[in-house]
Amino acid sequence: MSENVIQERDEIHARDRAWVQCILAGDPSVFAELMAAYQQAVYNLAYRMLGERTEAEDAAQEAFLRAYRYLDRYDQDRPFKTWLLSITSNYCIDRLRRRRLTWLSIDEPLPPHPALASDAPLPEASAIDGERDAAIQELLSELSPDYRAVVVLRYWYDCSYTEIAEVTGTTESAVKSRLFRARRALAERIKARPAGHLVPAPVPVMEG
Amino acid sequence: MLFDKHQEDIINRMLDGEATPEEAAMLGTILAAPADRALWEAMQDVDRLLRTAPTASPPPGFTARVMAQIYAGAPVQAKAASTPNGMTLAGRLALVALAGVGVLLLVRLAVGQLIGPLPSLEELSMTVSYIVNGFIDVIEWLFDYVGRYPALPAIGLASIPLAFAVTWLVVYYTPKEPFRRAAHLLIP
Repeated sequence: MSENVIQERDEIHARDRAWVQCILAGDPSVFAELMAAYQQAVYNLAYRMLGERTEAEDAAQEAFLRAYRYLDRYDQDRPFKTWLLSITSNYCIDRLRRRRLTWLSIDEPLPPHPALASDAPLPEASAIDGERDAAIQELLSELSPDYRAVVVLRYWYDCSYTEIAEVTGTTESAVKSRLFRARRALAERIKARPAGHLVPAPVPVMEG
Repeated sequence: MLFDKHQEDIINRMLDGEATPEEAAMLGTILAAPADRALWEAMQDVDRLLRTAPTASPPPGFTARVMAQIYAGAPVQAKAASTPNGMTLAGRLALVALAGVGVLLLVRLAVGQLIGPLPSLEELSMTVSYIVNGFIDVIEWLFDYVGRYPALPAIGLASIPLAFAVTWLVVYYTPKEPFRRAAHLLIP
């Protein structure tokens, strides 16, 4: 890890710690700063885990409320982001397990397809990106909650194995094993598809 | 199609771009079979797909909605001051102890009403010896029973992993959240 990256991490840690101390001293308005810094990370994790925007918003909201409620339990020597992602991940895993136990009544209408579940716009405006996003969610939904968390933390957050182990409360060895099995399971799903399906075309990066 | 732990680590590191030149050279040996090579190509496709995935953003007004709930609720608890419900841990433990003493007193009173004064030491030791003898009788009966049905120990042993599996399934599929909430009430 380069010196710049380490310095940047230290600065973020010091900033977060200062904010946490302000909140614990009785100023809840500072929590908005923490939210602004991490709302996308928390929401994206919830969305990738749950696959549905309305549910992801509920989960992200619950994760922030829990973080606020139990802020005194946060170990200020560790990165705030890891702690927050850990709360989000655990909440989403519990929610997915509960969802598996929910039985649908035949009188009850079926839940809408994830892509149709919300009126909110997709993360990318273009239809191609929307299609790719739906394909990614479809693939992720094939994985068990524990495996899904490892894949999301690795690909979207660029977390190291040690960080993933901290967030998911497991060992580094288990993380490696879960990541390999998840990659293999996803590869086997892709292999079973018609040629070219689900494989992204290179997207040119457009900067304003 | 089966890889050992070391081979799995090499494939992971190759996909993460962290493999050494020696490990990269070993990949050819690991993926000698055509089926393994096809799997490796599909793993690379997955890797590319996930690396180009966009990050989802929360809807507008998300922060304001959460902050409104925070302002509407109780302020964050100061460290070690109290549990989420506002009572200190010592207070909670004292309450539990007091309730325990109360229950014991009630039980004592009820027993006193039903069977009169507590038994003497001699009566107690006789009761204990009855229980021990009864236990020994049961053990002897079990040995006798096993002697008549030799398959019984094997069935007993085989039921142990089954019991573990059932317990694991029950624990795995039980929602943990209510238990966590209950634990938080006692231990902050």
